Amino acid sequence: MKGETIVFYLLAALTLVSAAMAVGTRRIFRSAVYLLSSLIGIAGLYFWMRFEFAAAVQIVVYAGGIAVLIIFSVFLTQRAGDDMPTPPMLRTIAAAGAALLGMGLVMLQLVAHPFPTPAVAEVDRSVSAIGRRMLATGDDGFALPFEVVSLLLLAAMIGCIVIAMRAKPNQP
Amino acid sequence: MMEPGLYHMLFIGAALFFIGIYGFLTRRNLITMLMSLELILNSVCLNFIAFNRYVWTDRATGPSMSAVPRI
Repeated sequence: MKGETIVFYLLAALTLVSAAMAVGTRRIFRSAVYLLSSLIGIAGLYFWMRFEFAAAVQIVVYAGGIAVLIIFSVFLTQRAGDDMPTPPMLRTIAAAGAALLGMGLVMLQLVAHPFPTPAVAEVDRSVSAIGRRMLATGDDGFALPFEVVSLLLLAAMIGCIVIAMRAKPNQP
Repeated sequence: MMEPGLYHMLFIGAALFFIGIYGFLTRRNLITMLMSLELILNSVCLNFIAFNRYVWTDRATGPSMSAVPRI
């Protein structure tokens, strides 16, 4: 077996096991740390597929940003050492059944569907090529999703300002 | 142990998605529900990148579109 294959299976095991632990553990802080290691495993998978830019963004945005944000919000709003209450048995069974059923359906579709193998040469995946496509308006451009995302971010910023701008009680 | 390819990546994406669904349905806490949602979004990104790597290699759709769920 090639070393590349072993690395792939290790990364996949890291990602899936820590994701399962993140949704399964009862301590909220442990859950955040398991989520962080699952995100790092996904970044490793991106590196394994040689998408260096996507992997770097994954590490910077998720491992560096969102995981730290979640850990901060855990410390500010929860009592991190306490156990969370266990969900009712019926809810656990129903959620596991829904997840397993959905997974089975997706896997059935997946093994039955043959994907075309690529016949063309690989495209330039450098950062400048990605940036050019993000703002191109032609057939291969992503200017419209880019602008829609900027609208979403604007709405999020306005929402933050509205939440932070509480009216003072004694002011006219 | 097979040589990893598109199906392996799609399996990982689907498994992450349904682990996230399970967490989203069982947790009562808003922060832990947000964490499960992050798993779901990450599985979507992984699928975009995997399709770009193994099927439609002539377009840079994967890295471009996977930036959208990230935001």
